[in-house]
Amino acid sequence: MKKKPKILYVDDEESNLRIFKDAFRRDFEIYTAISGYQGLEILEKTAFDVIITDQRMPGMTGVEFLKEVYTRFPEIPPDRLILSGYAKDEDINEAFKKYKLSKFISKPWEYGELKAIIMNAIN
Amino acid sequence: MVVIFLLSCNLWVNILAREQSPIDSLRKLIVPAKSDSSLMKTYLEIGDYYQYSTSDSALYYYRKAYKLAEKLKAGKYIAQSLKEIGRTWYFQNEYDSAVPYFDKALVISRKIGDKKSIAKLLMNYGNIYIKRSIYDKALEYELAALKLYEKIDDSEGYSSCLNNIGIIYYYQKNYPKTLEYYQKSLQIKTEAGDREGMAILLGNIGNLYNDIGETDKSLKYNTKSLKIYQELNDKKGIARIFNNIGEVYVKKKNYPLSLEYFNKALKLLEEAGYKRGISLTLLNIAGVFNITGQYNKALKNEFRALKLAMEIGELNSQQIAYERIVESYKGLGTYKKALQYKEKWFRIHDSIFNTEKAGTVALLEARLQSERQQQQIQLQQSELEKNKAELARVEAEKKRQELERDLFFIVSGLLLVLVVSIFYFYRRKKMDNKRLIEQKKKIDAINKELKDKNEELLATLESLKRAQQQLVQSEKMASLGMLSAGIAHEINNPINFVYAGINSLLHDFRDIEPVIKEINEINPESDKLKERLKKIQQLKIENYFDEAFEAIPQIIADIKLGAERTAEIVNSLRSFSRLDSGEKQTYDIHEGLDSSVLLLGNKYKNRIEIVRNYASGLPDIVCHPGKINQALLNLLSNAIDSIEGEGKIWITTSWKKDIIKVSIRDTGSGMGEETKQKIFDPFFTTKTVGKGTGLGMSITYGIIREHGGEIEIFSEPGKGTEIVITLPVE
Repeated sequence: MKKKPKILYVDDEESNLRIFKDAFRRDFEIYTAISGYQGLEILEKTAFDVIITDQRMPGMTGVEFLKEVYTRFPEIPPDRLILSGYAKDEDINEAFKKYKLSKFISKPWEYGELKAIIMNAIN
Repeated sequence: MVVIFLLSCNLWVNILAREQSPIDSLRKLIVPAKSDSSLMKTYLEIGDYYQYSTSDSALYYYRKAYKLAEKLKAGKYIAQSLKEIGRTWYFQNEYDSAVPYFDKALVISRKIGDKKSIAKLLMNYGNIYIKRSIYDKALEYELAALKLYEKIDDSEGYSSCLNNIGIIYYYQKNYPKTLEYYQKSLQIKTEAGDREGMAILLGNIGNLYNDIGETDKSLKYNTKSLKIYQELNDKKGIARIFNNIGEVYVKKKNYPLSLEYFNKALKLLEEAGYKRGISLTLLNIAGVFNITGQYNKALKNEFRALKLAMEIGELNSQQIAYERIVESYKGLGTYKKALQYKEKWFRIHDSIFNTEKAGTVALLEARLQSERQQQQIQLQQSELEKNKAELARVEAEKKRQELERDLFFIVSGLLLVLVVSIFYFYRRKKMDNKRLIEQKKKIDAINKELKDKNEELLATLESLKRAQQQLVQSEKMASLGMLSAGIAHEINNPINFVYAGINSLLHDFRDIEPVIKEINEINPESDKLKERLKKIQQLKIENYFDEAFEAIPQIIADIKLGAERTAEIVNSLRSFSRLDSGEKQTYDIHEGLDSSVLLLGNKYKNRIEIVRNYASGLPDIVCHPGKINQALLNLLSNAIDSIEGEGKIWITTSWKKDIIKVSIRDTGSGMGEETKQKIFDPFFTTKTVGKGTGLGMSITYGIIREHGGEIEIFSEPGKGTEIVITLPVE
């Protein structure tokens, strides 16, 4: 059997993490983090195919997290970062321009649509 | 030489008008008065001297007297000079200009208790009302003056009042009453030996008898009056009576004789240069020509009268002139022309009406205009005075020289001066009149402009009112926009639980479905149970049964949580949806605060800590919950906006008896005194353009006031702000 792609999902809502994991566990190998800080810790040890993060989180926002990822892990190929949730246009634009953000999706997301976006990013 | 001639014309006006020696008045002008007080009295006298003839000069001297009286703090004379300024305007038919001076004079006279002056002023008000045809008011004032005159036993004033009341009755066509008052007045004048007064009254009575068709009685009284005027050598008076007698003969249909009298009057008036009188007399003559069918002759007189009336700006005479012209043209059968002048008549009729009834705008405008005129006149007068001083010097010099010359030379010189000065006098008078007419035109134009402006302003006011309503609406929409942004964010996470959760649930069920199916098909009687169990086991592994089975309760819990949180947000929104409901309701203000905080979530979450110190047992208040929520949302939103980065907001409630108090304190940027002063002004905003309507606080203030509450602000720049609202429970 082919090895499943590895996905890191960062969101400050426990329920969101659980639901994401449950929805995609059949398709991908899912890692979740409850904050940007935890996400960075996991990134130290594991390489991922796609990273998805929520925007609005206490302490470190999604865009700030992407900025950290961009500076600390330059080896991550482009077009692999996805931002979700509710964000200001200027923040999203900044992330697109500077931190290799490839896609923005708003919540609530739909399983089929999100899966297609992830698959698109990998291929 | 020019200087001398200019002065001479001034003198000649007076000689003709008053039959006084020019040298006397020259002395009055030139000889410097010993004290301010005597100078002031001299100014008043000179003013009186000019009052009927040269109003500009009269005003100039009365003003000088007024200034000195002010300086001397002599109340009586302040009032007198003000009153005389008013009367000068009155004689010019400028009633709107006169009234303010009478007003001022009356205040002062009442203060110093000068009853005679008060009575005189009341009479003047009455006279203005007579001229304006407001007879009930006129009667009121004249009667008040009459009472006062009686009290102070002033027969002259008393009889004048009687005469005026007679005139009021005359205009109201109550002839018996008119006659009664004229006779009373005449009696007093006769007792007092006031010849001039007697002449006036006899003339008035004569006029009245003519009006009621008693021509013989009319002739008797007019003849008596004429005698006195002739004794007094009062040309204007004589001319007036000649006119009266002329009118009597018109009534008697003796047209040649009436023309003779009118012509006599005309000659006298032309000698006196009294344009108003000339104009009226010409119209009388024209009237006779009209009756006798000599329409062309009539027209000639009518146009001359019209021209004069226009020169002096006399609307009444103009109106009569137009009326007569229409008659003449009708007589000639030129109806087109007649119609044309009838239109002019209507126009002047309207303008008389407008002049009389013009409101405060006209009054203010007239005051402004008259002040401007005064300044100009004063300027001219001060120049004239310089000239007079110069003249005094020259005159003295001249006198010395003249003494050395022979008598014949003096006489011929004087004659030359006389001729030239008459020439200059007419020229100046003409120019003055032209100037006055131009000014009147200007005033009319300004009046019209003001009227237009007024209408324009009214329209602007209307559109401003509409704009205000729109702005209040747009502020509501702005709050709504803020709300929807907040709701969108607050709702997207819990909805995500539900939305994505259901999808997962479906997958999980798909995973466990084959296993359940297999279990369902077990037949305990016949089956090879072991084989089945093995197959079930295999299916379980293939389908990740355990993972799915474990996940299901958790997913259900997450969906439930999502649904509950969504419901909560929708609930708090409901109180805002009551924005415009008419009825007041009882309402828990804590609910409003919580809803607002919840809906503002996206603006403060993760940066501002909100601490709620709610008082227990806080009573519900009777209010419009939608409006109160709008106010609370505005205040909280401002508190949040004032904090840049991280900060804290305390919401504290308390209550005492029937008053509840809500305090919202923040650690934001605070505000200075200037901002605090303006914070409730509409359109005042500290936010950048497009970020705020500037109406939030103004509307909040309105809402709290509408509920009988108050807002207090405590703030210091850099230290944050506390806003305290107090609201009555009911």
